[in-house]
Amino acid sequence: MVPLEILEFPDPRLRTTAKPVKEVDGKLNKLIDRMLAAMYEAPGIGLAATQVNVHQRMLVLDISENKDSPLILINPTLSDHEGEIETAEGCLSVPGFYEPVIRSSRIHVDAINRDGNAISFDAEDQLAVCIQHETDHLDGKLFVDYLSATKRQMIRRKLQKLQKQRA
Amino acid sequence: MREYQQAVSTLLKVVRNGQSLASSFSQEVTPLAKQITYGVLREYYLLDYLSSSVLDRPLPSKHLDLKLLLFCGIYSIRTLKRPQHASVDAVVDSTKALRKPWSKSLVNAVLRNYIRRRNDLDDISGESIEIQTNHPEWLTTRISRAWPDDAGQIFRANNEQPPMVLRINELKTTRENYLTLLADDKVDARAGSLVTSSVVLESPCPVDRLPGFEDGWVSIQDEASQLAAYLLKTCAEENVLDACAAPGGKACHLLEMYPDIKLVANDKDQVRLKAINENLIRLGLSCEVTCMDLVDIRNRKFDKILIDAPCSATGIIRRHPDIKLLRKNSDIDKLCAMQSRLILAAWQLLDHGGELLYSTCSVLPEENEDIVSSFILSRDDVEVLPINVDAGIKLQIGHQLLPTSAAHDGFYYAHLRKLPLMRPGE
Repeated sequence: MVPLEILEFPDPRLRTTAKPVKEVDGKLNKLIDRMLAAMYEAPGIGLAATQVNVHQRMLVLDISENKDSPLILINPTLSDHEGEIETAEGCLSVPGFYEPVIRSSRIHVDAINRDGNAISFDAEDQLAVCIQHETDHLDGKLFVDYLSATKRQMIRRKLQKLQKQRA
Repeated sequence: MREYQQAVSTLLKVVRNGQSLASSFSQEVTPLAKQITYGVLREYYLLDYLSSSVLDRPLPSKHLDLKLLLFCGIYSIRTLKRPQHASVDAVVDSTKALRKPWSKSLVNAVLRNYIRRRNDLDDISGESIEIQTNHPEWLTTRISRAWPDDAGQIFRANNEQPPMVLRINELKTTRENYLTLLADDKVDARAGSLVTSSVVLESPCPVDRLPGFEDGWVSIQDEASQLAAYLLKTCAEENVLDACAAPGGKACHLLEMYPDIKLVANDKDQVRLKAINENLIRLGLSCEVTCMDLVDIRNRKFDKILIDAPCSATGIIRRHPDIKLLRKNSDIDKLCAMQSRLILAAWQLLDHGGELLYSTCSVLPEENEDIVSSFILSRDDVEVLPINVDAGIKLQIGHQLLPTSAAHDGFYYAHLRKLPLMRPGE
């Protein structure tokens, strides 16, 4: 299995708005497995399809200690945002940077799972933050967008320098 | 220098007071000040990003005027490509007129800093969608979801200067004849492609330079908006209601095309109603003008009704770039509720067998197809009539025009017929 490449800020492809998944089929399930592998490998707690340059509304995450509770959300929609929580967020597409971001501390989630069944649940705290962070990706949004322009540019310059060195 | 001062004072009315741009210009505004004002609103999110990138710390909100002045300065240098140093001097000079002479060195330093770092700063690839599209995020989300394949083109068109489009008053002249008059006056123009009454000017021109404007030979109206009178075909003696008529463009067009109809031009807004009367007088037309809430109109039935419903105006952002700042996400639900009420109230005034044309200058399905389809679902006396237009997108219910470079604005039309009453035994 060829590992998936994770796009890094400021790659313009991260700004694509993803389209809804039309069918949960074998092809999509293969992609889910590859994304999970890439997320555990990184290591990270969430990965949206946008980050691996697939512009479909789908994301994988796992916030468990033992990395044994993957959650797959297809066509997620968030509602009933409540409360506020500030955490230091990082992102596999913005490697090495952790900055405080304020999000809703409680949300309701409707989505489809990898078997094609509708799921609906409330999420709190870290899970709520993680889901909001990943669904942002599907709308072309990054956590650095919540930071000041100056800070974002600092991150951008440092990442571009590293990306050049690697190339 | 006066340009920047005028631009800032106009922008303040929009950004701080929430006034519409059209009502914010003062009499003596210069063409350059106007150009800068429109431009700053078109590129607002980018300019905010660029200026905050070169400021050490954000300006406190009491210095919104200085922030807007910096936007104007960067816009002039970056987009208008005006001479850099002369522009900086002019902008710095206007701090005096803003009565903040102490900010001279700050403004000077920020602009010079921008000029020095512009190669680096102007590269916004990979930046947030808000900055890249120069639209508020809630609107990019709604538009991208509604029109995934066309969103990019919509954002681009919204930030362009729209063409100035005329509507020929066919009671007074013909399009062919008027194009000749314009050519004689060295005004470059071409016939519009969407409707037979339209003339598109190659560059904007003050109305007093348009032959016969004062005598009602032409009006200013986009092609997409001119479509209304073509879609709502009416015949002599019919009772026609333009339910939300102000400022009267569509009502006047109906009278120009069908002079023998009995038209009522209604609008709830007393102030905006004045514009209808002015237009009627200039064009030499007349009709009954009323100022009523639709639900208060009693004992009248109409053969044809046009509802050009109040809406988010997201299809005409290129003509009113202030919409991007003034409209809020929470407005959409309120507008939808009003639109649903309007279509229902108008339906009660429609005779059996009569036709209703619902239109908005919105590109959001929530205000368009969704409103009409839930109205239809709630009733059993509605027939959807086909709309044949050589542009835009044919929907299941109605037709959507998206704002298009050098062409028409964004508009939605749905054409409905109220089924005739069935008599028992028929």
